[in-house]
Amino acid sequence: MKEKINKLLFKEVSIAPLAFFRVLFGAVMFWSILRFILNGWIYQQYIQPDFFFCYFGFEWVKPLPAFAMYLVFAIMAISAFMVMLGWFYKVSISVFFVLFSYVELIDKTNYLNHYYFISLVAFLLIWVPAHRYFSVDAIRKPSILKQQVPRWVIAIFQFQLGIVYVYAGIAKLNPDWLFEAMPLKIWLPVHSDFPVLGKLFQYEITAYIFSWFGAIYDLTIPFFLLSKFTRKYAYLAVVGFHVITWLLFPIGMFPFIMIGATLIFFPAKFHQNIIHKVQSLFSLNKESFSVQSTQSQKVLSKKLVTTFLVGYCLLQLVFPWRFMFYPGHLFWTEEGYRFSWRVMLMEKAGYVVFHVEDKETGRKGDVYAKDYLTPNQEKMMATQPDMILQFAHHLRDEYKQQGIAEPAIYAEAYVTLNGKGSRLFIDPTIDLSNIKESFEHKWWVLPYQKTLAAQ
Amino acid sequence: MKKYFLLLNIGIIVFGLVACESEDNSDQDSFDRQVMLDNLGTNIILPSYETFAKKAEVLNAAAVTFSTEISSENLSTMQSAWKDAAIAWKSAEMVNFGPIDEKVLETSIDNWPTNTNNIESAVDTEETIDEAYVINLGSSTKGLPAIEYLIFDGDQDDNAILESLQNDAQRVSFLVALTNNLVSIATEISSDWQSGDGNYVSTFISLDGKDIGSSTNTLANALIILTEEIKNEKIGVPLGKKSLGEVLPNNLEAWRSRYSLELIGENINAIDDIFNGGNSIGFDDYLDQVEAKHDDELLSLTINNQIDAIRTAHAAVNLSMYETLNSNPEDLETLYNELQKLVVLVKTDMMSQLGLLVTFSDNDGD
Repeated sequence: MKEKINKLLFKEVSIAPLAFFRVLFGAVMFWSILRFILNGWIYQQYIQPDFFFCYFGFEWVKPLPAFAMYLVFAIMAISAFMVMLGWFYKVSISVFFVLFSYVELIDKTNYLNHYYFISLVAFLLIWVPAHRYFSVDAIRKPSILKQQVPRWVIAIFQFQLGIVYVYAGIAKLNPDWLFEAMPLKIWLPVHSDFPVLGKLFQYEITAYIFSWFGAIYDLTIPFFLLSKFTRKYAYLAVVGFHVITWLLFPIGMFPFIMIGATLIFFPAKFHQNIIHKVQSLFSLNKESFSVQSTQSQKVLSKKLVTTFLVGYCLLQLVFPWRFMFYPGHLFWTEEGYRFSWRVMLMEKAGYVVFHVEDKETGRKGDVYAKDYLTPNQEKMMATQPDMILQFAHHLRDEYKQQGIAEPAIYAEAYVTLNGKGSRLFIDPTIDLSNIKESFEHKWWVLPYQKTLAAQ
Repeated sequence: MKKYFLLLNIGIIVFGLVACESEDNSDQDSFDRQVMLDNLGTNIILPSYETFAKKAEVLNAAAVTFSTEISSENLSTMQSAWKDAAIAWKSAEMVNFGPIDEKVLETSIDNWPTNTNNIESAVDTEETIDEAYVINLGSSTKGLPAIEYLIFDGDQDDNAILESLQNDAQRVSFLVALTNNLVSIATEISSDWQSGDGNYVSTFISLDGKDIGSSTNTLANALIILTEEIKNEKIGVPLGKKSLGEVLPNNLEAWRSRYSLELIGENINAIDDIFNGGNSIGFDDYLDQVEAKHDDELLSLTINNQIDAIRTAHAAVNLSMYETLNSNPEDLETLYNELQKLVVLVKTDMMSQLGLLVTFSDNDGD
């Protein structure tokens, strides 16, 4: 057993795939951050809002003043670039991880599965020697150069990618997706002007085919990528799949991240070839990265590494299942929805009005979220109970400050899920000002009713 | 084994594509957004701007007549010309994009509440008051609400208005200059929207995608924004929704003239026209084409029923809103609630089923 684990995790393999992964990751991150800055999103997401939906337990994460937010993103871009170059790698990847995660923790509104993925990958990259080959660090200090690394430093990224795909696939195994082709039945027909395929999008059967193919693709693609017999075709499928989703849906950089990241499944020879080509392009000596390290290596204890890996993998395997502890329809309540690789899974939209009551005088009024939130915040809040509760508490505090000792806050929210008619979402008779934020079941979310008749 | 599985995947796609090709494609033709935009732009939006420009000219003529002969008869002619112009504007108000947005003209037409202090100090001048003088003023002192302030008394005392104008030539010049300015703006937008090369109707029709910046997305958002504005600002605020129940009649749109209800009525007509495309193709047909349902009912029907419910609630308000706020606020409460139901239907169901985005800024999703 021990030997087996030893072989699985610590067998010496070429470092090339890891170094190549580092370069791609740094490059795509640099591009992503630059795109984020140029789109004006720093202002829209971190400066313009007056209120931020912090994560439960991370209330201490606050945005910085405007100039500092710009600085954070500038440093993030620079550190991503340095990760790509492998220049002061350990510092730059650590800085990138901390800043990126910090920014993502400021406001739930901006949660995206691929941001979570980036945080995880950046975290993992801190602990692996991705800079000890094909890097500025290795040129400046040839003594750190390495040709071989234990297998786990590559396998862990393959595992992480496998998790993303397989769990995204498992998430698709629900009746709406499989038997009603929802939400693709809604999303595809509006793309009837899409080149070549567009004509097919108006047929219901196309939505079914896409749904089923998407599920099968997600569930199986990591295994096809692992096998040397199918890898080439699988990668073609990866490129095709992600390019199509990129063209159809506003999912930003995610397709490119996946197209780049999945190359880690390729054999070392593949990466080695590319690296050699790049070297000759920059007329670097082919030998420049071929010396083996002379530095006595601080090898992390195998036991420590194994413990860490088992812990990390278990957490990744188990965490997405936490939704099972909650009653009710997951897509409706979204209890345990985030951080679980549920990507492009539902079409949900909502509208919420808050009713305020001064309990001492009985005077009543309404609050329009648009007076307090950015359109995007309002949109995200309207369908997510935990955000509705947070905002209700914010209103409670505001009214208290205005001298109303006992404000009651009620939410009248309507949500449409996967094309079913909009219906009441939150129990409008419940005073949310007294409801504590927690991971406990949100009983004040009305049960999902598939047909409206009962309502 | 794995290889076969992959082949199976590919097989499924190929089969699917073939199956689709062979399926009968009789009335499954995709919805042509260009046709809808052509109808909405050419037959609804452009005429509403043209009508507004005409009514502004009538108002201007009435003001000029009034300035040559100040009489109660000429005042009432001018007042009804104002009402017609304001109503004409309410049918174009929704269109908050295109030339009016690029040239930042909307607030110069209709910025309420108007700033009476600024108007008084603008009038109180030795300078010659003409259109050029008005152009340089801030938007809170011009447009329909400023004109309303000059020709309608808050207590509906026309004599007080006549008096204020009779003894103040500068005030009359200001009034005429405001109507001149209104004509200029209305004519400018109306001519910007005319069909023909480089004009906006063709641009409007050509932006036929469904992404941010496309006409379909922008117009759908404009429809939502107006519906919410009627509910929140034009009814909710005066009804005391933002002031814990304290009614605020002076926060009504056009409270001095007591035409708040008529203006809202015209807004509702505009929502109806844009949604249904008049007698031709509009969002209702688009929804039907994608077979959008609100549970068992066609969503277009649900929305139209709701528009009818709003009309009924609107018709049930007997007095001016100014009076109703005090006498029968529950009538306005009903109208408010019916409008909220429409907001839910267009903002969630319609946008969701058409795959449109309730936002103007680009954003990543996942």
